[in-house]
Amino acid sequence: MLSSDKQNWRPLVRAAFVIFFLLILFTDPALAQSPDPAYREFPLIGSRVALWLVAEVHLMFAAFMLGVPMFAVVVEMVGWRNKDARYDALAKEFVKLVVIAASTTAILGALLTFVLTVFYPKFFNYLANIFSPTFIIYPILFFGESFTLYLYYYGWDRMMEGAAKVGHIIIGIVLNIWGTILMFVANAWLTFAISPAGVDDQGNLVDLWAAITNPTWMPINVHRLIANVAFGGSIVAAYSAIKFLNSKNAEEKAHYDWMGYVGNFIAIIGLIPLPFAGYWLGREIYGFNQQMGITMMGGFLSWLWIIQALLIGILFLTANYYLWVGMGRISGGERYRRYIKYLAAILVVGWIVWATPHSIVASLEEARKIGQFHPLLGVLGVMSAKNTVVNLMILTTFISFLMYRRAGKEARGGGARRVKILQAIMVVSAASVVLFYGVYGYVDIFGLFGDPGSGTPAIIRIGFSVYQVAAVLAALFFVTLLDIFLFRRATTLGPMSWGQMPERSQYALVLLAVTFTWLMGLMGYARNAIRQDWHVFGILKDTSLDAYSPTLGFAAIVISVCVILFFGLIAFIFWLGELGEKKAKLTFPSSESKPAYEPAGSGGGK
Amino acid sequence: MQSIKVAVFALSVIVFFALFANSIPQIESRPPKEVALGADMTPQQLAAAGRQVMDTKGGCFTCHSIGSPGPRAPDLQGVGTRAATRKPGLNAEAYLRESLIEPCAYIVESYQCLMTPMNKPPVSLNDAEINAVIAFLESLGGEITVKPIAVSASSSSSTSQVTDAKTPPEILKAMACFGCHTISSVDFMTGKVGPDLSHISTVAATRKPGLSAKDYLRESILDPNAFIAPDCPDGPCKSPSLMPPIFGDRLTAKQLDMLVEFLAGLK
Repeated sequence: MLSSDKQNWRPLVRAAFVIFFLLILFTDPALAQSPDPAYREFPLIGSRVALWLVAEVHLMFAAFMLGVPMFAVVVEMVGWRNKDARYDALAKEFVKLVVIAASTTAILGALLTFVLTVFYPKFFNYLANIFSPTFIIYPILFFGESFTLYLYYYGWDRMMEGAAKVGHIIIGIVLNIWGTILMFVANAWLTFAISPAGVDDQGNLVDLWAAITNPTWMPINVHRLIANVAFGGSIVAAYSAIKFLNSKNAEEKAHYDWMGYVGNFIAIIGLIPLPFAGYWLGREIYGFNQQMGITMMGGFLSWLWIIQALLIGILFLTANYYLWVGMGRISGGERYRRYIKYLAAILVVGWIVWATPHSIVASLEEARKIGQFHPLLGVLGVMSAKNTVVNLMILTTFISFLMYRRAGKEARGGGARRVKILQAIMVVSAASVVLFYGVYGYVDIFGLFGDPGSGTPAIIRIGFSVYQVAAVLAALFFVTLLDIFLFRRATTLGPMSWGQMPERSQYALVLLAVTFTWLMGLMGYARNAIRQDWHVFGILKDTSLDAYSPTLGFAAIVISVCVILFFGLIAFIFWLGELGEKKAKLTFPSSESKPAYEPAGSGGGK
Repeated sequence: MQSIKVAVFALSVIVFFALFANSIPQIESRPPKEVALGADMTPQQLAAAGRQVMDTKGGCFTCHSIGSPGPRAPDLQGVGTRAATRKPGLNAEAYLRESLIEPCAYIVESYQCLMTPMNKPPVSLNDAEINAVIAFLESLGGEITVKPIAVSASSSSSTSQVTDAKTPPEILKAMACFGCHTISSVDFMTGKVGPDLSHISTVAATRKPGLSAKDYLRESILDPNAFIAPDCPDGPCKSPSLMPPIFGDRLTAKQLDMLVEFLAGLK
């Protein structure tokens, strides 16, 4: 096993050196002749696209590498607490994927540094001057993370029992701590470029800690932590889907069905709070610089949010669809089938509203006829409507998840009905709060901020989203809490038939992963494009030929290439990882046997 | 076979996203163009230029509007009249200048201070542009009292911009080399401040021992003080050189090479 893993990364290291050598070879001949140039030109595709490709693909790998260990250690803990070896084996399988991807992530990181130093020396030197102490800490953290990862994976079988197992879980937690700090350090460099702090008007460093903890640092940290989990879950689910589709027997199908389910479950858990984290980040960007915020939401990037709406709509619908299809393999799931059409309707309507542009006037003639905004659609295009529907879509997804969770169970005890009613009241109340503030954002019904019936001031309207988010989060938390107690000693209605999923459900998992990855690329573009013609906003001007933000169409092509590169590379290294490995015997019973699996949050019972 | 089907499916999804993104309106965000300003402008010309500055580099209409109050910033209609009465002791021009440079010194009722100082990054209006903006704001219901001033090289941020010029004459024009140098074979190169470059290659190789003609020319562009040429149109060339050492930042490596090749061919 160890030797095969070693063999996996050797060709990649060689490939990286070859790429770097070629990169230098084909770089403009003036490279070595111009003393201290601010920029150098990358052949054919230009420096910006070269940096964009390397940075984005590196970020995708890094997100996978940081996200998967976070839930792998949780799955391991679940297995340890429940004395269930299946979870333990699943967690190890997750980590195996990370080990395989680790060397590629590191190589891409090195390549990113090369590209930055060679093609953007002025920008890199400036960042190095500001963050030089962190440049020393970063490799130490990286080594710490790498060694801990190898210890975690290769020590797995030796640390299976008793205190050793606890020690192994602690190693897993330490691995995540290394990874999180590593990401926080890298985020300081990235966010400093967006919202610099701790420097004087000339850009000289005054306070390193202030530069690190700049206004967008913590929102990005939180956003990325959650997104990494969701992304990692979706990639694991897609991997399982492909393995499922290629499975030769029922045992393999059952195993990869379960693995795909867990991956999708994790992706949904991550997806639900992501809009809230994104909202916080948006607020901080506005707080740092209004013009930057307006550029992001209402300026040349405004149409980006329509693309984002398309992608998030696909994510919500696909994740829900997978749960709905999944209920087919649970005895008792048919009880909830009749509700699916209503949930689907809410999701589709919400999606349409979210994707409604604020201004869709196509010509001056139209503008004269209907004004700047469409009389009906203009109302749906503003944030009040969008905040309202995204919160309702989150609640809807939560209901789908609850249905899936309950599908194979029946709560016992006299109080069960009352608890269910209480849960329903909580969900309906949250939805009512969301709708109320959605409407109040347009009309001051009770005259709290002016004459009754007049428009609500924008500054007040913006604050309403906090109440909407709070209501939804509270409902999610308390309903889940009640559900755990309610179904703790539930009656099982029948076996869970793992492996009996239609092929289309597996394509849904692939769609989820591709969409997540593309969305990540899009948001990366948004985050960088808001700096416009600045390397470091307001401090270091971009004076290169690329000192402008390209169109969304161009960005979409680059993002697509990044996504193809990422999936091509990850498919290749996963394939390499399996070369030479003996077919491991799956420790799972066949789909017909009992007891069936009960992964976290599933409706299957023991 | 299943893996190929999945790959085709994933590829189709990616292509769909790319096509969708290309089907919506496409806008590029270019850095704002500099507005031409001169000390001899009439008040009306200055106000018109100020409006242009507000539209482009200032980005003022992202929040402000004229004729309707915006949610983020006050309506500018009639500000030329109101400005004189906002703060005791400040006339309209002084109040408007303060509002541009210290936006939080006076906050209009029911608004928050969201504006950044206009003379500092990221907007970085120079003194001439600030005056032009004041002229436009004064013209909105008041009298234009502010005077135009010339744009000095140091106050203009355009000096740091890279050009996308693709031929040697385009580069010479974009870098404003014509302001100082003459090249008889290029019609617009008629400057009489720096050395005549019409036959520069005949002397370039002998200027500095050990440096070839091309190396000398490259050094002279990147570091004008490395060697001060002996002859300028009005006598010996001045030391330090009047030529700014900014072209390393403004030229791409390819443009620099192209320029050196061109100059090395001037016999």
